[in-house]
Amino acid sequence: MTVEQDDKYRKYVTSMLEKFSDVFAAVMVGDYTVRAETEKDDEFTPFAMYLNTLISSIQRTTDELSVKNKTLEEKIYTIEKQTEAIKQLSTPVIQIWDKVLVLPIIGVVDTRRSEQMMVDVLEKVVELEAECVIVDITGVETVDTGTADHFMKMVRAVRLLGAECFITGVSPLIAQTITHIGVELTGIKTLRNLSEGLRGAFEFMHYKVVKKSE
Amino acid sequence: MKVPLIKIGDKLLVSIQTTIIDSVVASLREDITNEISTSGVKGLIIDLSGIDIIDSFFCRMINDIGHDARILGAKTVVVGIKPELAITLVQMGMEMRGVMTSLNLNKALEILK
Repeated sequence: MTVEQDDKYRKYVTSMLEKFSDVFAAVMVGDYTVRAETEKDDEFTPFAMYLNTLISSIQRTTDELSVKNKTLEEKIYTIEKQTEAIKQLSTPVIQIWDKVLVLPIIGVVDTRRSEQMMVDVLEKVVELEAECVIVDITGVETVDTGTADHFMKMVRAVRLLGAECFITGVSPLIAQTITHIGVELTGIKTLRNLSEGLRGAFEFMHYKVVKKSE
Repeated sequence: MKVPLIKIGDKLLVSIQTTIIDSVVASLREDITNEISTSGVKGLIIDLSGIDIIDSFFCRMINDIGHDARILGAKTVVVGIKPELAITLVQMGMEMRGVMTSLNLNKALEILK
């Protein structure tokens, strides 16, 4: 090899390396559309082909991942929305009469839900200046010591604000359970059903319901 | 700091606007009992609307003041308990025995009428 040939070859290698490094730089910043040159048939060709295969495989994987990510994000969004909806649905505080609130409870009452219920009901009592709160547990299937304790706490907290609290809709089964597990419901007014509860609230507020004379 | 006692007709209004230290609570109890026995008020209203945090001592003192007042012939109504305060009280297992509670001053005055 003459000096000139050697110099030419050196320049060629440098230029090829520069081209490769351009490709690498592009891939590093996330551009997977670039490809190394493979038209020439020399020592660099296999290397360029390997590099191209690698880039396309990275591109494929990245695309798949971004699609999966998108579906996951959508699912998370849905879950968040549903959680919020469940939270709102699970503790509706209804104003059934002037200064009388009803809190119908359906399903399982756990610690988290009971805390949320308590906060909601207390805030509503203050907001609407309620005098009576009726906690209707018709929709509660089972009662254990924990659930009974939550109800007791709710009644006490409502009383501390200066309102009266009734528990209604105690089914025969729940009555038996409460007696069986020996929970003391001292000082807590329990009534058969919601209409009895409303009657109790009227009585407490000294209201009288009379039929309009014809 | 002293908590002012305001006499309105035959009622005594004690408005506690900020969290107070134990010694002040103790002296408040003395002031209230003295005032009830000398002026002969028939009702005592304790306003807790300015209180965010409560401890067991303060709660017991409120109960004791209510008890003292009853012995001296005055009914006690505690008003303005905030929801968060009510939750703290029940979570700590503390109760307001011997005192009535009411949402606001208006209702307390109605109760004592």
